Amino acid sequence: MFGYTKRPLFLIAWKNLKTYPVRILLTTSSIILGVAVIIASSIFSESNKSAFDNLFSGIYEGIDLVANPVQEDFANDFSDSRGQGPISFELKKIPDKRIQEIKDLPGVKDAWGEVFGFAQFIKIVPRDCRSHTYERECTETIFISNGFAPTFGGSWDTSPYAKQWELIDGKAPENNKEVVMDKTTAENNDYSVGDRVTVLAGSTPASFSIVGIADFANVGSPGGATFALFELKTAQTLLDSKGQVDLVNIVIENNADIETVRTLIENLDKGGLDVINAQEAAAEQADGIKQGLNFFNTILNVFAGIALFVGAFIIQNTFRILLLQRTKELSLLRALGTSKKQIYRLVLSESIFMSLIGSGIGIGLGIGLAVVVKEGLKYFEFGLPDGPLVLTTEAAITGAIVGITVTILSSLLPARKASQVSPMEAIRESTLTPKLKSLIKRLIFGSAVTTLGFALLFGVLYDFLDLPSLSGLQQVGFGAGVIFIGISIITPSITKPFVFLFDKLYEIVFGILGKLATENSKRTPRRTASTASALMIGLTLISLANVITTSFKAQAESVVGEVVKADYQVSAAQVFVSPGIPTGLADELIELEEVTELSRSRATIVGYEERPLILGAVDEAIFDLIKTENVSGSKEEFAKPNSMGVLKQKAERDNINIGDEITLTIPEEGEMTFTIAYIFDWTTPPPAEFFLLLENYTFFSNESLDTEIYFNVKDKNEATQDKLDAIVSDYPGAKLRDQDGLVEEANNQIQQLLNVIYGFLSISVFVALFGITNTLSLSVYERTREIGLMRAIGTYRKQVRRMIFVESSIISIFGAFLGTGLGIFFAWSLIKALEDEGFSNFTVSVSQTFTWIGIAVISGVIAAILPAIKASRQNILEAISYE
Amino acid sequence: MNKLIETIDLTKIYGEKETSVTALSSINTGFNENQFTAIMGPSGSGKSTLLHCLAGLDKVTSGSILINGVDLASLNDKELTKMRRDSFGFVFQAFNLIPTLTAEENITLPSSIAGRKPEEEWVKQVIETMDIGDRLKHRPNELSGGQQQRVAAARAMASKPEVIFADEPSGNLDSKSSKELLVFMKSIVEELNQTIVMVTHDPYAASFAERVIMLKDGEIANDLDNPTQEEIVSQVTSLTEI
Repeated sequence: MFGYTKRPLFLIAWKNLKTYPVRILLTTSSIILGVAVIIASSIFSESNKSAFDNLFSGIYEGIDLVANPVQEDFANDFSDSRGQGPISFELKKIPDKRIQEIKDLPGVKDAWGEVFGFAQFIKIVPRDCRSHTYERECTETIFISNGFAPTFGGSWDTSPYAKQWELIDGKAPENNKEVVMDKTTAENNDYSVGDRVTVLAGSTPASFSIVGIADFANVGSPGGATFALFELKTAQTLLDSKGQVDLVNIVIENNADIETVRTLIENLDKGGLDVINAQEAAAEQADGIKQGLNFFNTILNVFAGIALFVGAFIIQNTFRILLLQRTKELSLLRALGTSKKQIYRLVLSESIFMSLIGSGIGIGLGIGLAVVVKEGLKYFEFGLPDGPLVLTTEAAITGAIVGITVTILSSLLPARKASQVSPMEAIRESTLTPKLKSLIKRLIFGSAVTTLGFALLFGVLYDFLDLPSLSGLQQVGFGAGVIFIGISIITPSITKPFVFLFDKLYEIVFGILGKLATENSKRTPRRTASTASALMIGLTLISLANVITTSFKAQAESVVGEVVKADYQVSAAQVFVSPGIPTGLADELIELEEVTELSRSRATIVGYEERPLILGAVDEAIFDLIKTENVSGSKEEFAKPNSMGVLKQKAERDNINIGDEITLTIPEEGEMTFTIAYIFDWTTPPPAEFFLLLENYTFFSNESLDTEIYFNVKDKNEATQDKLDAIVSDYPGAKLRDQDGLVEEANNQIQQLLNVIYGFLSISVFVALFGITNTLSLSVYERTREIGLMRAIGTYRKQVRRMIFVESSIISIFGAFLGTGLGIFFAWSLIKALEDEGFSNFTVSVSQTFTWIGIAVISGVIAAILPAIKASRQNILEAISYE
Repeated sequence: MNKLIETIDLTKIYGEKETSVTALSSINTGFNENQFTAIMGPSGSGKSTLLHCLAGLDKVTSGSILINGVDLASLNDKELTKMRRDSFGFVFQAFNLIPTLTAEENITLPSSIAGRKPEEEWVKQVIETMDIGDRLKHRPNELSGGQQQRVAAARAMASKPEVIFADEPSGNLDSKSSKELLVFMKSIVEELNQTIVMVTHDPYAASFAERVIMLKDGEIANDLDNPTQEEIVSQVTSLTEI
């Protein structure tokens, strides 16, 4: 009995895959990575969502209603054109007596007030002094936080129905010396019951004894925030809520109707109380946060998209080369009577097999990647709520579908090409050189697209073109996208001229091996180009990110250097915890003989035309310490009593002129009228829009906080620095920085962001490297005879390896340079487009640019290691023998 | 005449145990300097295997090959490669040239690989002898089959090797090109004092050699000095008949 199969082509496809597992891995490597990123991003966001769901249902556990005070809707007025938020405004609260009133209502089982605000655990540790002449001990203040999560303080709920926090050790706080710490913070920082800890709430730090450790909804703490929980009275004092609470939690009787009770409570203070259904509120707030997180999810998906896009390039390339290798096999099938359609189906069924395998592995790898990303973010201190990793079926299916679709789509063209193999190929030696005509066609078409892209981009940038329904940035992005597509089309046509640039250099450096390598890259320009293109995408994005951030940094540096003339600036270390610096610090500093000039800035809330307004006050020295621009009026007039200064922007917006009179309602003073004497531009973020001279008015002394202090010193040296550090360290809420410190701080923030972006973009570069490995392995395979001949006539193995490395370096240099060039150009366009927003600095860091090119080239060479080893180990006799 | 190459009990067995095939069995012979030797024999006689072993492309199973007294088996891959590069020249039946290099670059390839400048006078002389002076800037695909093989022969000689191994060099050529190539090869030995060991199954090609070794079933069946084509043909016929 002879073996008979109904589906011979299916069998061939299957046998092929079974026989060449490495081939499957090579082809699917990019799919695997792309799918993995999608899965990881989905796991990541789903896990966060479920964590937030738990969080909010935890917050309201066991509570039926929550009474909140109705806030006046004036917060919007404080965000001015520069995007500065409110400095501070009075939050409406609920007076203590209301709690009892609620408790007394029919249907209410229990009600308790809750106070909530910002508080900061502080650790003060000794450190080495900068100079040895200073007699005091030098210390360093460490603000304890779990990553970027906020630092909160609140009241400990004593009601038997309160279930948010569960004591896992110790007892509840009972007096103003005791605090309960959340489990996450305690574990992360090795605190336990009995330890002492300093807490900064408001502006003055105080020492507390930790009497208990509490767990929040089994996750340690909500969202990784640090929590200092005090007995209610203490919390009210510390968190600026004397005699009042932020909200009241209410539990109703089992038989009571929730709506009836709700109305009863709201009627206690008509218009002043907003009572909400706790369970509905939990869902609503969780949704709000989730929407916020969608942004993060979108970013992850964009990166996954990039990885898959790069992957598609590589799959298509790999398929094409693999099929080329099998030309003989396919043409034999054709000669035996297989139809074109059948060949097409054979290739497609192989790609379906591969896509299934690739997607499967990708999903597995994605789970691993999610764990790595999560741990990585933890390591880099991005606090997100803790919780189990969640992989939804939907996400898995989506990942698989995307992976399968991309693979199959990428294999359509190569499959079509394969089906057109002539049955005669089996007998002929095939040649690989692409037709010049198609390259020229490509060049013409690609150039047209690229030119169109440039025209769009420059048109938008230089304002003679405006695409309807797109914002300025979107137009720039659109133009850049068109250019990118154009360049991708052109690359095969410009491979030869590009490699030509290297010919001589490579020949001089590497001799005949260099020549052979450059010739090989030119031999298959399309393959070289599409391999390089994959790398180009990653490098474009990296250099774009790089130049943008370098430019922003340079901008920050020049702005800081330009606008801050003072030697030192003191500001609030944790703006949320304490909005300012206790005035005592400025008093101490001004007494120092080292300090030559000092200006405080302070702010208070006053009424202006029935609305709250932040009124700033400064010392005269401010005009020497930061750069202000005189618009009209004079500083001298400003210094006179009843004179007021106003910021340029405000004056322009509200049409305020010199000599205008402004009447303000000052708390505890009544109405006061001021004359506008000075209009000026404050070049750093200003603390307010209207200014008075601090020493002229007593009502500012009611404020206990300065927003900022600027000062100059006689001699800026280490001893002075130590002395200043020591004084400032008594005020843990204050942060002392010199100019370098300010620049560094700005730069650190940018750099952190950049590192995250680099991390994600590296994935696309990694995918591209797989492409290089693929291309080279196949190129080595194609040149079996050539390499065998070279070995036969006396080429060392080492030399063969070197040749492959050089070839790889050509591909990666090509991709890296194209990508870097495009990235720099796109960055320039972007900054140009942002010119109106105040971005003017375009700086390319030569060292960083070349570092990335270097990394790309070195990675390219690393990607060539396997093919190189394979080439050098080739059996000479097999290579040169012929049938 | 000096013995350049000597084989002692040269044996080559492919495969293992039951499936093993003895390709060469105790070959004891030598090859003289400045002589054109042809190795002949029917398919499967082991003639190509012998050439591959002599050239250090294949490892022997037992026995030894001495090149100027040096045992090839004692050399590692690197030393063998160096030997092939500096002391041997190769002409194969097909695919002799690197397609991306010009004829000239192909000719100087071995010295380029060695990082040496080719001896200009010598290379000129070789090119002249091979009559390919006007094709130097052409790539292999722009050359005829005969020209390609002559370029290959020129390459084999360019680094002044001690011996040139030729594996069916005229096998893919038409009779005119074939004759031309063989005439050139003969003149290399006579005029430029080269040594050639050539494998062929073609009595006509073998008739250009000064000595013809007949192989059958991995053993030397005959060793002829300056045979005529007729003698070779009759020998081949008798070998095939037995």
